[in-house]
Amino acid sequence: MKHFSWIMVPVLAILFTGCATAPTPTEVAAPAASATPDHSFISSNGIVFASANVLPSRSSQMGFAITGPVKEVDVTEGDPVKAGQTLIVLDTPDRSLSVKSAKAAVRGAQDELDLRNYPYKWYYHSGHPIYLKPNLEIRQQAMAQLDSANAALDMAQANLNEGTLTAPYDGTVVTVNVVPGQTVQPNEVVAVIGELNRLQIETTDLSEREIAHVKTGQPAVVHIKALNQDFNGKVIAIAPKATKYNSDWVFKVTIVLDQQPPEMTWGMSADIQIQTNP
Amino acid sequence: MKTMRYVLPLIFMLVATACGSTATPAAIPTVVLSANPAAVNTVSASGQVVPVQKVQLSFPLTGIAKTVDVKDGDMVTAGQTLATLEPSILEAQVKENQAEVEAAQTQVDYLKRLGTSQENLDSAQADVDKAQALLDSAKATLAEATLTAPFAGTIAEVDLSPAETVLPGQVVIAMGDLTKFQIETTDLSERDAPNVKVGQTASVVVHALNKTFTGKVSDVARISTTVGGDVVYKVTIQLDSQPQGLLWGMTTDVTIQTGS
Repeated sequence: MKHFSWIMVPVLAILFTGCATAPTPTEVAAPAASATPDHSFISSNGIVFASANVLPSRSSQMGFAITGPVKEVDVTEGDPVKAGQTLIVLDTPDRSLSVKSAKAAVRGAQDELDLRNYPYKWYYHSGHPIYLKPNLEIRQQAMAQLDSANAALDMAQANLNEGTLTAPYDGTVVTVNVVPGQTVQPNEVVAVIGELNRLQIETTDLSEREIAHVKTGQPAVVHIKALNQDFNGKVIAIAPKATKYNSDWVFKVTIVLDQQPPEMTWGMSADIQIQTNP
Repeated sequence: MKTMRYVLPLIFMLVATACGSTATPAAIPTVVLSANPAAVNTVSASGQVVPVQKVQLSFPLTGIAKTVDVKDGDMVTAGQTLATLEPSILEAQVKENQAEVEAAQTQVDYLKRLGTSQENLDSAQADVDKAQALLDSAKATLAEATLTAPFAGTIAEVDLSPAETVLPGQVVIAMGDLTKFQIETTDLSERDAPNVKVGQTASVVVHALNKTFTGKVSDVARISTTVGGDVVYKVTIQLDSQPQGLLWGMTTDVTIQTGS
């Protein structure tokens, strides 16, 4: 009995305090910058809160169009690469030989054309030498054959090139999924490249309720959870089309930071606040 | 001890009642169907804002993406290049077929000059036609390696980066004309569908804008779809005017006036 009466005092005190503040329960809902709301919302002073991820401005899940064994892997994860740099080469001896034989065919066709263009002597009955060329059609035929051989060489070279993966743009190799000797299939992701010097923040859950307030150019504060730091940035893009996220329709909003912190990496999660004009 | 167990809830109730009376509770709206004759003649459903003209684009070929020339939000004109596949093999094929046309044509010219039977000439001409057909086909395939915008609009989604492989029919870009939107219902039940007719007026509440717009039913789907086990029909509402601020995918509540 005595035990209970002691408990009752604080319980009642709490309940009555609750009554007093009941009409304005904003203190409970007021989010700290580091709070993790389970969905986006907009505060009364026009700040939109949402969750986001760090992503490169551009990335590619690269693959080959052909099947074949890997001959060489010229890069390791983390390597910075230039556009056009060779990353992975497949072992395709048949394609290499096709190029060689196509080159030989071009040389043959060129010789044939030279021969057909070569004037030969025709002795006229008066004794004066007259030089003639073969029939026009014979020469045209030889020209067409040379064109054809050149096209076949282009084809063989293009086929050979299918076995070489090059960097599509300047970036960083993020993952390499194959080792020499391994056979790759078409459509298999063999390596991932991204523009890691141009990371941006993309919201994951900014819903249609808030999107009407968000405009490009608005300032934003980005809290990177892994670094436990806030960074300034601004909205650079708003997705023109909603996507489904859990049961909500959300619009992807992209933010770039004024200065990219060197410790920030692809995939870090963030909480963002966008200052809208209420 | 035992009495306490009864007293405690009582105290809580008292406190709670006290709270409630001071906080001026909002009245829970009650819906009385018979008291509102208008409700009998309306059909309600959820809907989404979608462009009148929209398309999901894909390549008809397997290949490796060479360029991706647009990003989300870009405005494009009809015929503008959006993305290309590596074309070198297809280009070589065109050159090869071009050379074959030349060779076949030379043969025809030669036979004509020599003078030969009509059969020989016809046969040579047929070779030219065949080579020309192969050339046309190779050119058409080469053109398929370039994805172009079928109409002027805005790029909504790009799901492709350079050096990635694509398969025929794989959607790589979605675009729409974002100057003209309409509303498509997502859950209009088969029970209500027979009452909905083209031309009926409708009001549309766009949640994101917190505004109501008017429109007309412009289409009722001729085939049903299922949403979570329900059979539903997609009804399209044409808006009377194009309001500012609409975005593709915003959700709406649609009320259609089905009777007078």
